[in-house]
Amino acid sequence: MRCASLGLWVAVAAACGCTTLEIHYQRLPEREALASIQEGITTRGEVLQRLGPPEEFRQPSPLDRTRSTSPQRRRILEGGEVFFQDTYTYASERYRINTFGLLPVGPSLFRVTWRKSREDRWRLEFDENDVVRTVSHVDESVDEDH
Amino acid sequence: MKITDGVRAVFLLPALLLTSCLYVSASGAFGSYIDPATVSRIVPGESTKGQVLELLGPPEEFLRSEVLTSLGDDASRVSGAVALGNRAQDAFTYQLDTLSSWASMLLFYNHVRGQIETDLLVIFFDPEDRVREVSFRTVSRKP
Repeated sequence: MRCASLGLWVAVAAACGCTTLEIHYQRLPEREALASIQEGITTRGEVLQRLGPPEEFRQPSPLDRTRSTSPQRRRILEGGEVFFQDTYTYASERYRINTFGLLPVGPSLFRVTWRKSREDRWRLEFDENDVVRTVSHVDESVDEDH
Repeated sequence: MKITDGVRAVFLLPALLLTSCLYVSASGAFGSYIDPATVSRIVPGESTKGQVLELLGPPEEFLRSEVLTSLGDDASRVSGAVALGNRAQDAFTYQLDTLSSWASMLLFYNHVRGQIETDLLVIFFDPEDRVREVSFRTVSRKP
């Protein structure tokens, strides 16, 4: 009887358990450095000095397999600037996955999951004289429930 | 004294929580550490490609065989394309990917956090194989 009671408590505790998984990918350059980039004035060399190399030069590593989107693939879809080198991208991503119910194993019937992802992306386009033509900033948040 | 179910629950739940507490921390890296002191010895307009290779060793572009890895998956194919693009522009890339993570596990609540960041060094050369530009972004600390 006592064992059954203990088992019941453990089952209830597990069923009410929560899991939070957070993954942060990359870090943006300092805000001041990003703010110092001026359209029509800042050169490609100054960008490389102040912000460091952009994402276009980063090779996908084994760790990239854990992310849901491939930044390299997306950049190719965005216009092939990888080959023309006329756009630099600086990006940072965050994922947060919350699970309520049994730990992330077992039948999903007993589990509720909601996830939130946020991507902060800066794109710098250069003109033919290697001067920054446009600076654009995208801050995307996506919420999903399962 | 008779222990009621309510009292038993008050003691049992924290006990269950405590006995299943676990904190784990881990870190790992892919690539070689890029020493800022070594990078500072590379002088644009003066250092040659040979000196760069001597100081830092072969860059990413030469560490991976795109032909073999491209058989693997899309990411590798894209990686090969990026490497090819870099080479066409005559740039060397050195990269260190670091993963740091921790996990705290309780019976009721588990929290796992991971951080993946990259140290990236790109060196551009002019047609005479002299360093034209050095661009370095670092987030990691000394190993």
